[in-house]
Amino acid sequence: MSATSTNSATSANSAISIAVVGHTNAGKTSLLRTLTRRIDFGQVSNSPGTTRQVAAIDLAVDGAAALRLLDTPGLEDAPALLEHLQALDGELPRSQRVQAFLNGPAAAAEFEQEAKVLRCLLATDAGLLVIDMRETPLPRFAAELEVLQLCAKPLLPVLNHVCHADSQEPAWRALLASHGLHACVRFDAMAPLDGAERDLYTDLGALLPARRAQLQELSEHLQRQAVERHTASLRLLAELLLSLAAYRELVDKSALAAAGAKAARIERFRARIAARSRQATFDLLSLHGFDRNSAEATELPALAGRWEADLFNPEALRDAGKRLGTGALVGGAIGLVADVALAGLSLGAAATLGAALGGMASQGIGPLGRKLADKLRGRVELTLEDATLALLLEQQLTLLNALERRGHAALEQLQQQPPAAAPLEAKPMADLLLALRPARAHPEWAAPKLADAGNAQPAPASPARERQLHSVSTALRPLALAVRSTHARAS
Amino acid sequence: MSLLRGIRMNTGVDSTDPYVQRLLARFEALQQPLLLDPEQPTSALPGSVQRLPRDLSKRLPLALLAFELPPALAWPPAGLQDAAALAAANGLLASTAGAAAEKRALLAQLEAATPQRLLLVCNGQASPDRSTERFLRAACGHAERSALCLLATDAAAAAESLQRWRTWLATLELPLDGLFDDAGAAASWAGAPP
Repeated sequence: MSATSTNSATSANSAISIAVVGHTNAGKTSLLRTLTRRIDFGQVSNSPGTTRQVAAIDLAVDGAAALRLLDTPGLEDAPALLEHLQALDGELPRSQRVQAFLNGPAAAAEFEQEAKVLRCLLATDAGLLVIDMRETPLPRFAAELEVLQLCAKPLLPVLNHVCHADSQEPAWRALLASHGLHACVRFDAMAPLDGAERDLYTDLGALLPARRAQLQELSEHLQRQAVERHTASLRLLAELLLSLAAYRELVDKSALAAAGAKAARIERFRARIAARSRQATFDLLSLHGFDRNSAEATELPALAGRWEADLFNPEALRDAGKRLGTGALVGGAIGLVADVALAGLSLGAAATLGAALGGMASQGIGPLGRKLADKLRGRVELTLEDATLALLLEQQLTLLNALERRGHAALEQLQQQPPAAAPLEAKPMADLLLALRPARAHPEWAAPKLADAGNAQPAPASPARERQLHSVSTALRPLALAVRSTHARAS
Repeated sequence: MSLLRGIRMNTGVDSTDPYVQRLLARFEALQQPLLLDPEQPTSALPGSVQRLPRDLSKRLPLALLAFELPPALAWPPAGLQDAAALAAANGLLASTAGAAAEKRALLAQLEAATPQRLLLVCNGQASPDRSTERFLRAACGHAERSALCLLATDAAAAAESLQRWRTWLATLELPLDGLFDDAGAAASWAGAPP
């Protein structure tokens, strides 16, 4: 790699190039994944020396590359390299020692990995020095700082795993300060703190004053993208809730007479609901840059069946029903079911009439007439209870919060320690259920292909549905905010 | 990507629409990382340990060395107190934080001691690297038999990192006669059970 090949900044308009450097296993690739929101970038593992090449990826603003981030191998033997550099011709000024090393045989042999790092840093505008705060700041790290500083490039230490119980931040800050590095950014690559990304670009701007405006623009662009993704996510969830609130299946009473047949019918209904819910999870993952088929995604609690099992768990539903409170009782029956086999669902005249009454205000007598006629023909409706919708929403908002708050390298944590679904407050939940109420009287608002598991299609657009979708999205905002606050407090 | 952004800017396509967002995400995923400096065939450290000819009549029974232990790990640790006393009285007991000059001096001492048994103690929660490998390899070259003991401040939390060490060691050709994560077992190997 030559100095010119990394698009080193010679013009104020060219992409800013930043080398991500640090000790082996410090979390460089994880940081890059988080900053670029690309789960597929590089290779992340617990083994040292996973990255052995220099790879670049661009962040674009309105289609034009604004920032080029370069992933580098880990520094593994800085003490020996420092000695090697110090043993080079003593007449050489500091600035030329690195170049002399890179031109020498050691750069292609025992220090080949370190040579890649230094070559890359020399060719970029600045370096992000990723440090695992759980490590003790031993002499080897001091040697790394000295070696990197020989490149005479601005360095911004990124304090990774800063929230870990074993973090040794004060000792690290002292070591960094002793090398003239006073500005640091606290950025946990696995679970970035609120505003950490903005802080990183602001601090980088302080190190690169000529590029400050560009970095500011990039930071604002990324924030706008985050807001757009959040809005789009709430739209997806609104679509899910509206479809499920509207969804119903007509069942012949005679088909439910036998316990086995009834159980099978209910199971089929639940499977369709679960499939539609999984579809929403896939959409959320896709919206946040995760491959739905990746091993990490398929192990998520939402997709591995763990949350699905909770969805129709009588106890979980009873708790959700209690949390909703009596003020939230709208539409059909609510969570406290006597028939455990039916947990989460409503079946029969009570639900039908409740739903129909809910819809009368906006639809007149038509739907009621149809439902009554259905009933007279000996058929009943199978619908989803509000408590189930509430529970489903708690799960999906928890997933959304995890996707928004955590880094792209953190799916593993989501799998192993899934956060408990955050209980939602009664008042905003009641507002949401009110916004969903009209859907109870509009079976056509459900996705038409809901019955085909996993192939939910958007329901046909109608002005009334669009209006209601907007209302549901709006009602979701305070709930999403509450989930975010709950998890922020918990962490 | 630029086309889509352009469309959004010029036509007012709703970029908060989930389907537009997913389309954008797919376009972004198409951008492949650029490989600038590819991996070369590895230039590993020498696989075999160089054992220099020595006057074996002068060799000492035990050397106990700590390499880059954090301050939170007491040295010598509980369980290795007797081994430490034996090494101090009739061998070599030393530790290094990893500074180059310190390591060099320690290796020189080890060479002079030519111990029958060398027990190296490392931090099992640290990430091993080539600097560690270089030291272990050099140290083992000065002893007749060597073993490694990995200690941790929090044994329960260290399970993952200990596995990382084992995986890493399996890729090296170090002449280790023993690998322990228990100080007592290591002390027994050293001939001074606690």
